[in-house]
Amino acid sequence: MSLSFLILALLTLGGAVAAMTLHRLVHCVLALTVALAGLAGLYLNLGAQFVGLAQILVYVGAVAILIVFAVLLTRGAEIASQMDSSRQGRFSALAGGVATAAAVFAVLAWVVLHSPTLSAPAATMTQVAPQAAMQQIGDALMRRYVLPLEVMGLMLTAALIGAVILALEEKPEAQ
Amino acid sequence: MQTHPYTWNYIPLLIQILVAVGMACSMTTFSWFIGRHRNTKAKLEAYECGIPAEGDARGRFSVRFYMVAMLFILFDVEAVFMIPWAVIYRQLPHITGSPLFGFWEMLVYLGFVVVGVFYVWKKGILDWATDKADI
Amino acid sequence: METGFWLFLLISIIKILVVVVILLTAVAYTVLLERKVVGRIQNRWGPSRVGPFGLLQPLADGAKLFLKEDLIPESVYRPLYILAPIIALSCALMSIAVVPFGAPVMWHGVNLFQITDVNIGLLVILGITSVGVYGIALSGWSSNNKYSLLGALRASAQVISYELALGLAVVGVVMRTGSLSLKDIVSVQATHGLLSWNFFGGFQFVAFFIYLIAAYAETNRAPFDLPEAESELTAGYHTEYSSMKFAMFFMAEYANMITVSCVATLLFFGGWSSPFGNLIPAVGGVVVQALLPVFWFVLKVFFFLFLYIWVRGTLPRFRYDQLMGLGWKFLVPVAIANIVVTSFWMALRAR
Repeated sequence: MSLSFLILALLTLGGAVAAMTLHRLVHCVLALTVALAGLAGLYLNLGAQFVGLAQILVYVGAVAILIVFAVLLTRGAEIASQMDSSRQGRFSALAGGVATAAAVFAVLAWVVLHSPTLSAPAATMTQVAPQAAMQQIGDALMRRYVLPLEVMGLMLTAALIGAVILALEEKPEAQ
Repeated sequence: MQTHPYTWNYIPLLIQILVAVGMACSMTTFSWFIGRHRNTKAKLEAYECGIPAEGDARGRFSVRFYMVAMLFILFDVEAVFMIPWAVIYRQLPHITGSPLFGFWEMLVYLGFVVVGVFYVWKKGILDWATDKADI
Repeated sequence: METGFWLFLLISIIKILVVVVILLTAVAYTVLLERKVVGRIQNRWGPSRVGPFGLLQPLADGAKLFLKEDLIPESVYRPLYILAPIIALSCALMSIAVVPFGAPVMWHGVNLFQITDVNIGLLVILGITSVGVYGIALSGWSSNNKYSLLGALRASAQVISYELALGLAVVGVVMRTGSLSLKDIVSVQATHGLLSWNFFGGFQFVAFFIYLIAAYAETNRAPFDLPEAESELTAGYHTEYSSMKFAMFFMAEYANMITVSCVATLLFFGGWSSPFGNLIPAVGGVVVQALLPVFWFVLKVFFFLFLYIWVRGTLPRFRYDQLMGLGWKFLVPVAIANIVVTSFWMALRAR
């Protein structure tokens, strides 16, 4: 079990690092895809089947495809990413990146450490049958989290409308 | 019945993936070594029906393709959330105690999806020929 | 425990090898079937010279493709150009792993007629399908050829559009079954033969037709073969590919056809269950009992493959705006309506 975790973690981290450091944009996108797929593998490794497959369907199959489209449909794929290659520029970029990453991880750690499930360690250790897990998700979505589900549906529709408006607004510039 | 732990079920899937990838890789490699290579300049050019290729193929393309991918993400996320609902739908009347509760809550959710489809439709994003949206 | 694991591993590997060999043979003979049937539709004989009735034609084709010159044009971007057919073919060969071919026959705790029964088999198939788009998109871009790029763009936009309709069509079936395991989906349909199949008894025929249309588009087959519309785009995204790399795209297409036919059979036509269900008493010994479901399964899959070819020989090609219109303006709304009607009907019946 720990071996599979190690392989998947290395894959995810390697993909993420490659996505940041490679020079050709197409390679970066593919490395990002590997990182996302590795994350899906980590979910599956934890026994969260639905989340893992949803990760593949949504992130690998849709979000990364959108980025691939964006890269392939413009000339940007040809040009190596224009990095500020001076020492000072690199340093400030690195510092900014590290600061952002630290902030994100701090928030995540805070949320994880303060989550109510941590206070009940016995419950986290019980193995549930995968079919039951799937139905538990359904049950939770339909009872306890009905409102969040509906709000999320509303939010997705709002995002859709926003995307359409953004695409239509570019019209005068394109001409 | 199954006597082995559930996680073992992933092992054959993993082997299948390895076999599939290995097969594809070995086919590419073998055909490279088996086939002969007598290249000429004409052969190595891009094939565009005999007309010499002009310029680079990669350029800007209609933003519609991008829009399709964007719409797909949003509707795909919406569809993914329907799956846990579908799995548990049969038991919902027992769980919630009301025969139609599960139906109504999904109807509201589907209502949002339909509003999204309708909006995109009316804005002309889905019309590829008329260019009503002028994108 | 330890010996149990190794036995499990050994049986799994044997199953996988057998299935992959059968799948590749089926791919080769589907090509022959297509050439024969389309030939007959067009009032010709189709291949008839190599072996009796042309039955050895696939072998000759395979040998020819292997021996052909493997050309890599100068203008392509090599790493992705080589990677693309590998992604396409391996994705096409993967999803067969979760398909149950026959009624479960347990031997040392391992089901002999299914490579693996993960509880989310249906999602695995959808996920692998969605990864397959990379092969197409990358092949078109790396070829650096206008026809290839246009073909790849058309293909990927088409595949992701119809994937949505496909996913929504499947929801009705999942609702009826309450499970994503393909084995369970079939078992639910196996009781009263024809009448309990999702297509007839489950009233999922609307979902089935959505699935079928979406699946034809998903595999880039006629009448949705715009990505390789030879009158407009030479050969679409495989224009620059030769020898085995071309063959790999070809094999991927046919392997996808077979997988899609298998899934159609499993979801809507009762998989390996016989059309007579339990109405006719079981006959024969243990071996017949085990192999009869496989026979029914193969028969149904063969029917769907034949339908694929029949449609190809009959229908003209869509125009691209018609294709996108059909996907988004017709199939998606109808699929949503199907979900609403099915759930309402089930809620009323549950009372």
